[in-house]
Amino acid sequence: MAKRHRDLLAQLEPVGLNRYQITESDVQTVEKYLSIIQRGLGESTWQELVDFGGPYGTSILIHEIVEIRLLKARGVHPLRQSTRALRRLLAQHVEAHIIAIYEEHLYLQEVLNRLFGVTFEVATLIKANRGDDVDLQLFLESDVGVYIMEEHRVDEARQALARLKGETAS
Amino acid sequence: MRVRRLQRRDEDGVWFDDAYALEDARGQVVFHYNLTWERLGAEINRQLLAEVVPLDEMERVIPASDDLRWQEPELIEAPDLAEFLAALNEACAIPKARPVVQTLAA
Repeated sequence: MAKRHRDLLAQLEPVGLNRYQITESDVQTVEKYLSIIQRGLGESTWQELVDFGGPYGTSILIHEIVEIRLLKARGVHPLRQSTRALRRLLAQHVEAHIIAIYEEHLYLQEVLNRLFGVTFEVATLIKANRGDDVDLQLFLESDVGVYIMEEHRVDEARQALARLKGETAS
Repeated sequence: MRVRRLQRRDEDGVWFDDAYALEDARGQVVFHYNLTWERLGAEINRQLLAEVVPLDEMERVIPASDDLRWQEPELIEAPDLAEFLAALNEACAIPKARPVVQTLAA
């Protein structure tokens, strides 16, 4: 196992890692997965994960590992696919992405409450955490659950996420 | 409306339509992407909302590289627009929302 995967794991948030039983092998799998799906894009989600580390990096890792585990449960082995094949498989199994969005933001909901004592609805956090409404729409149009959107608290949620990322002090 | 396709090169050297930028009548450009773009696609749209970038200058937001290339803008008008975009979404593997419980049970 590469030392950099071990070092990255040490920089992430242990409660989240334990809850999702994430191992060094999972970290290695996520790096490989992202290198396939984002081949040629220049910037990468992997680099964001590494740069943020901490609880926010952990939320990115949770999204990826949940997505990969669900794809495998559906008989798709993502590390054996080409970029072109995988993007079509991801569209066919969009539920893996939607549940990954949900788990990512469920974790963010819990960690924001635990660290800062603030609580936001999952839908509010998705809106605050993405640069557009694509993931929010996919989530709301699925039947994962019934959700409340706190439109008046989206800016507050953005500030809390910025604090979690270490972009602001309070 | 005007559209620019973004093509990506696969491991085997084949170029394929992977995403597109769509410019509305007011000049606002929105980036349409598949799930391989993940958070990056949303960040591009955040950037496009914050700064007006003409369709012809999308290279400023997503630079061309050995593995990415922008095609020339195409002008698409009604009544062909919906059919054109549906085909482009299919080519770019852009997913539609779908009930999760039903899919997992299938």
